[in-house]
Amino acid sequence: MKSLRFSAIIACLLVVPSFLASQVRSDYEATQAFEREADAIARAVTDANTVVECVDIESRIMELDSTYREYKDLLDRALYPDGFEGRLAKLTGQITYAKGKIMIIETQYDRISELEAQVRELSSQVEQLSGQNTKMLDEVKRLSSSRLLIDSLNAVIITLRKGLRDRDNLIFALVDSLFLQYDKDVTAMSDQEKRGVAARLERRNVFSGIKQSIDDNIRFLESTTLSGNDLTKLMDEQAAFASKWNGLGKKLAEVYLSTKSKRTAELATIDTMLILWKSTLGIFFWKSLNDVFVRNATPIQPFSTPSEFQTNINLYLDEEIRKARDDKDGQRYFRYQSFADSVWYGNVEPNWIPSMVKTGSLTEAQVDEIEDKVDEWKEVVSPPLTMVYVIIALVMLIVVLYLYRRYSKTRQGSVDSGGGATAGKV
Amino acid sequence: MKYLVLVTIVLLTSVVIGCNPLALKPADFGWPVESVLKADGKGMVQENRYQLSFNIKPMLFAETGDSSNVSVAVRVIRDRAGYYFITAQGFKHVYVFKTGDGALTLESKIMISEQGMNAPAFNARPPHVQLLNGSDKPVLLSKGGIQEGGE
Repeated sequence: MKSLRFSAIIACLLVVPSFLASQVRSDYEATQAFEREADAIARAVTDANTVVECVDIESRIMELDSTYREYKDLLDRALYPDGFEGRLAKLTGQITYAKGKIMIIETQYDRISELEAQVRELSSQVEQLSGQNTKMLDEVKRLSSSRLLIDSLNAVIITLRKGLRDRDNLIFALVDSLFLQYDKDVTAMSDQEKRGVAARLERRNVFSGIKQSIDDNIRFLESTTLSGNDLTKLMDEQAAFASKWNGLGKKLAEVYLSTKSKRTAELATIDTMLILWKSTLGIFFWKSLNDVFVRNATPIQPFSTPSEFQTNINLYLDEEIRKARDDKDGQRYFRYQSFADSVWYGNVEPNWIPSMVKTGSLTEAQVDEIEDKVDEWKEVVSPPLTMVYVIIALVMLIVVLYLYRRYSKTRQGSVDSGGGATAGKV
Repeated sequence: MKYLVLVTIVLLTSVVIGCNPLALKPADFGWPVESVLKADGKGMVQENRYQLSFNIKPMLFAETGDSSNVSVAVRVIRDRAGYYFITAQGFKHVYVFKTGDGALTLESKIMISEQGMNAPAFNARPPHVQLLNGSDKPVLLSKGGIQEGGE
């Protein structure tokens, strides 16, 4: 037993030193191992594509630090000129920079993905609305032929107007979203980026969408009869559309300039269509206003400009005032009343004049001039107030006299009959 | 006579001191870590950090009797005193060189293993150089040979 224990001790004495000896590590190997891991981390930093990878790399740097800190003195001397801390600081700096860059890229990627999804959604909405609007335009045409369905027609017109407006807004939102993905001004874009934008614009049918919008708006005008205020709102919408197009058109021109696409010519086509839309609005404005007078059989010369409107209505009023002064026929007051109630105060003044003033077609002074003439006409056709009072007083006097006379007669009669009876008795 | 001897000693001391070359002391030539250098086809090795290059063919011939096979990775370290310790896998010796006139000149040749070393490696352990050889007990070297008290 004793010899066995002795043998075990001897064995231990032989094995342990050699085990310990095998643990002695070459400084060169330690340095090389550190360098290999540091280089591998540096490569991983270069190859990192996601923030998650960066976080993993940060863990590796921390592990490298803790594993080799015991060799700090050696590495400080061996790793010239950085030293241990310097090499770690370099790696940390590299990963911090890479992480920041990747985070920006990932954020931009998320935003681009979000915008792309938005573009897809807007694009499908535009298509859907275009289909609905086309159907409604046909419906308006069908209902317009039947006066019995006027309520249905109005409902469709309201929905259609909203649909057109929504589609107009959507298409510009779509284009905005496309440009936002690049997060820079078009002039600062590379040719490759411009080609990318052009391809996306094509894929989303932006050009045909804009042209369709303008076409539908013009068709809508042709299919309906609108008041001045409604038309003014449409004019505002057209102006907003044109303003957005002006901003967008410049960007598109920049994009297509480098791509030498046939779309450059289409930019001019859209400009022309916008002018047509605006002039159509003008034409329909004056046509609808003319119709107001025609429907009420007011003989005003047709007009198609603000100055013509002002001249012709003044001519009409002057003529009516002159006639009212010269001809004392019984119809003159009714002519005034018809004009004032049904045309001027009933329609033109509340529904058309404000929009003309707002758009600058008429000045306040010009409106006042017309109003003054209407008032003058009223004064001419209305009897003077003193005469009215005299007539009323005369009528009242006649009525009072008549009643007094009747009373007197009645009283005289009763006196006479009472006197006769008394005489008979006597 | 006594004064004559004293004057002579003083004069001789002055002469000896005056003839000694200028020395900048202390100086440390030690490398913190060994370098492992591979020879090119001509037997030249190049150490980039310390801008050192030399030909290993004479040493290979001295060690193996054959200088044609130069595909050897030599391990080099310099001690604090400025001596270069060089060896390689399969070598029986560690060669100690000092700088000469455009050459490394052999200072000493230290026998380590008759069978040749399997995995030699140097560590700087000033003022000595530590030699590792796989699982063998590490030894401390100086230009004179193996020192006692190797770790």
